[in-house]
Amino acid sequence: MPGFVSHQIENINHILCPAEISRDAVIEFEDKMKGWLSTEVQTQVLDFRNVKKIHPSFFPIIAKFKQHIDKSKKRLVSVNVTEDTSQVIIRSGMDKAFGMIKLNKVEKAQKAQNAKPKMNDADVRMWLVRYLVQAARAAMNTMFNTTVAADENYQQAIAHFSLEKIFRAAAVRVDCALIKANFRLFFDKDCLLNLARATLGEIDENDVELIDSTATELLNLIYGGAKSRLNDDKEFDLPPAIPKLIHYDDVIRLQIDKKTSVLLPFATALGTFHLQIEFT
Amino acid sequence: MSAFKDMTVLVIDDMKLVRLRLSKLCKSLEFGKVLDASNGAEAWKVVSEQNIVPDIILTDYNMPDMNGMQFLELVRNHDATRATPVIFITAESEKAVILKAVTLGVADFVVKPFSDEVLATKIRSTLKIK
Repeated sequence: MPGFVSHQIENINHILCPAEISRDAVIEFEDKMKGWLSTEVQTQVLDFRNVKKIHPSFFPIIAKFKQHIDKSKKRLVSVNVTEDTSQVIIRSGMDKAFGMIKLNKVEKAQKAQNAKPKMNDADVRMWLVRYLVQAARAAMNTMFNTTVAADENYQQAIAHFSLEKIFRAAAVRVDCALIKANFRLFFDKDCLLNLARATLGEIDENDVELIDSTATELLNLIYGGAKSRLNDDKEFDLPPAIPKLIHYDDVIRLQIDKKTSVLLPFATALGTFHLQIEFT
Repeated sequence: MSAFKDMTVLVIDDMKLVRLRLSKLCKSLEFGKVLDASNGAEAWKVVSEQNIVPDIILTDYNMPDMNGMQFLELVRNHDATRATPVIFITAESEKAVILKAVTLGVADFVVKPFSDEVLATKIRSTLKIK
């Protein structure tokens, strides 16, 4: 029965350590190390949730593991380390090598890892639009099985856009150090029904919750997807946000000002929808 | 006969479109029972009040009332569900989020948008079914 159980999750190799890291377990770790190091994963995670005892021969092996990881500019972290185990590791002088992090500090530690230089407003907007368009493409291809004609450089003239035909809109408000903006996704009725059908097949066209959630989920995919990649790639620190629905009566009252808004059309075989980014 | 026929899956997402899609996929895999909830708090009621221990849980992360991470913490701290595999299905794919989920003991992570084939493969792999 293996002592160390590893499993790749996205860009992480999760290594669950056994309750007793014995001399034999250390030999097993050393055998498996080469395989783990040869993968493309960015982060090796040692999970100590079950660990009660560590044989001293483990420490030089971890030092070796860490050396290889550092050479390839990747990362080693140790999680779920109990206080007792933490003291053993600290007394061995190996705390830096193990890279222990507590649960409530995981996100902060990862963000510190991502540190990149700041950029100006124009660049921020450029990257935002680019990543939003990419996220929309991915959503349409993967979830709705259709292609989308969208170009970050093509922005629809707001004068030619009418809210009268809009059936529903999904909206997210983002207010952070980097940007303050409203993101709104506008749909006519046919487009929304077609999107729901593309996902589920036959649908009940009178299922208001289903139709509404089609609008909000697509904005979730677009904003959420762009946000996650921007935060990792460009250190944007955009907050998570749950899209809200705007019904026709409130949609029609919206003002779209060309001075503050960007309007991107997304043309698909299922219909065209529009993404407004209103900088406030 | 499906390997899932005696199994129960709990699907959690605040968007009905996604709940229906996941439920449809799980029914096509022939799970014995497919339950759903619109957020972590509602899902926890299913587990704790109805005394149901699912064989696997598929959950979104970003939800109102109780998000997927908070729900996962509850699941991991509750004796009956401590070992229940949980797969996150979310557009929140930042490294920090994935690392936190792994730290809390998530079994796998599916980034939205996803294909049915990818999710079905991860469900099978998590439950060790070929």
